[in-house]
Amino acid sequence: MRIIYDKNGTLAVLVPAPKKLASMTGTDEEKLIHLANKDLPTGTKYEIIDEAVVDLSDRSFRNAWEYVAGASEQTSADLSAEDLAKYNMTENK
Amino acid sequence: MAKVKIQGHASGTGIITLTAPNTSTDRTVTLPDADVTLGASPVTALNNATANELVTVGSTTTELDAESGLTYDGSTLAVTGDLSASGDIYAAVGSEANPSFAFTGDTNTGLWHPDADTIAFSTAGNHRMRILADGTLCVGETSVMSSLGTSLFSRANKANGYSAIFLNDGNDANRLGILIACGMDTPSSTVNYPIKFRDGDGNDIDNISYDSTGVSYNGQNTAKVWIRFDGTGTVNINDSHNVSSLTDDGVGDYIINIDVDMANTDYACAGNASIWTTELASVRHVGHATGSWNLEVIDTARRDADRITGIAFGD
Repeated sequence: MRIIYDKNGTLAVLVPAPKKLASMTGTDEEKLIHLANKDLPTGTKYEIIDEAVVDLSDRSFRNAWEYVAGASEQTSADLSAEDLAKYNMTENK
Repeated sequence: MAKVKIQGHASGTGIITLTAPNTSTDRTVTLPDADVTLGASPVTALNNATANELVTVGSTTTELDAESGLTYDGSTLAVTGDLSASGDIYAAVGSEANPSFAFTGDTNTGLWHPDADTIAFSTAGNHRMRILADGTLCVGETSVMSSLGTSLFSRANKANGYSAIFLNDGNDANRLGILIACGMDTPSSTVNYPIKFRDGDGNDIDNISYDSTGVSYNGQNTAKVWIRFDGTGTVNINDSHNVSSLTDDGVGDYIINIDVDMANTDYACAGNASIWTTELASVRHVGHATGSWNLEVIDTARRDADRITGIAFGD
C-alpha cells in the first residue's frame, strides 16, 4: 500500500516502513490513514493505492508524474494530543 | 490432703523409697514449698525401665535431657538432634568475623545483625552481602553508594573482574540473558533509562532507553534513525529503525519521515548510495527538521539508486 499526493505539481509517493506498520494495530487502510495524518501536512489531499494494482515501477519519467484526484481521495487530519506526545511532536505538520 | 507426706528431720541421711499404692497412679510427689538443696555430687534421674539417665544435675555438663542429647555446659546449650521452636528465637547481633548464626566447625561464616533493621552475611570472616532497611540487597558493599534508589547493588573491586555476570548456559536453544522491564508502555522521550552508564566516580556518561516500539532514546552514541531502501522501480524500504515512512518526491529525491521525532534539528546525518553495486553516487542531506530530513542521491544530477542508506545521530 502507498499514499500518493500532490507536492508542488509533482506526484509524491509515501512508502510506509514495514516495521512501523508491524507495530501498529487496525486494518491496513487505518494504518495508512494514521501515517498520512502523521507524516503529511494537515489538510493534504491524498489517496491510498495498492502498488500491486497501480504500477509504480517504471520511473523513466518519474519527475513528470502528476497527482490526479480519484474517487477515494481523503484529507490528512491533525493528530491527537496523545499521538503528538507519543511521537515527541510539539505540533502537527 | 496429700496421699503421702514425709516430714523432714533436723539431721540424718539415707535412701527414701516411695512406693505408690497403684502401678500407674498415685505417684505424685509434692516437695516442700521451698528450695530443694542437692548434695555436692551430681544427681541423676534414671529411667525406671531402662536405667538410662534422664536428667543429671550438678555435673560439669548438665544433661537437661540425657536421652535426647540436650546438654548445657554453662556457656553452650547443645542439642544432638534438630532444634524446633514454636516461639521466636533471639540471638546476639554477632559480627563480621563471628556471625550470630554460623555452622559447626565454621563459625566465621553465617548471618549477623550489623545495624538496626539490617541483616548481613559473612563468609570466611568477611562481610559479603547485606539487606538494608529499605529492602535493598547490597552485594560486596554495605550501602548502595549512590544518590539514586535501587533494589540491588553489586560492587566488585577485582582486577579483570565483573560486578555481575549473568549466565544462562549455554550452547543450547531458548537460553536468554537479561530481561529489563522499565519505562512507559507508550513511546515517550521522558526519563526512562533501562541502562544508564556512569564512570568510576559515579558521574553520568550516557544512557540507553527504548520504548515499546523499539525506538531508542538518549543514546547519543547509537544511531537514532536508520534506513536502507531501494530507490529503483517501485521504491521499497528494505529495513529501518525509527522510521515511519519514506516519501518518494521524484528521481533521487526522498524524505525520510522519522517515527519519534528528534529533540532538535542539530542532529548529524550520514548515508551512501550505490547503483547495482558498481557505481557510487553522492548523498546529500538537506532540510533537517525534527521529524524528517531530505536525502538526495546525486550523480551530476539527481538519480535513482538501488542501495541507499541514511543514518541519523543526535538527541
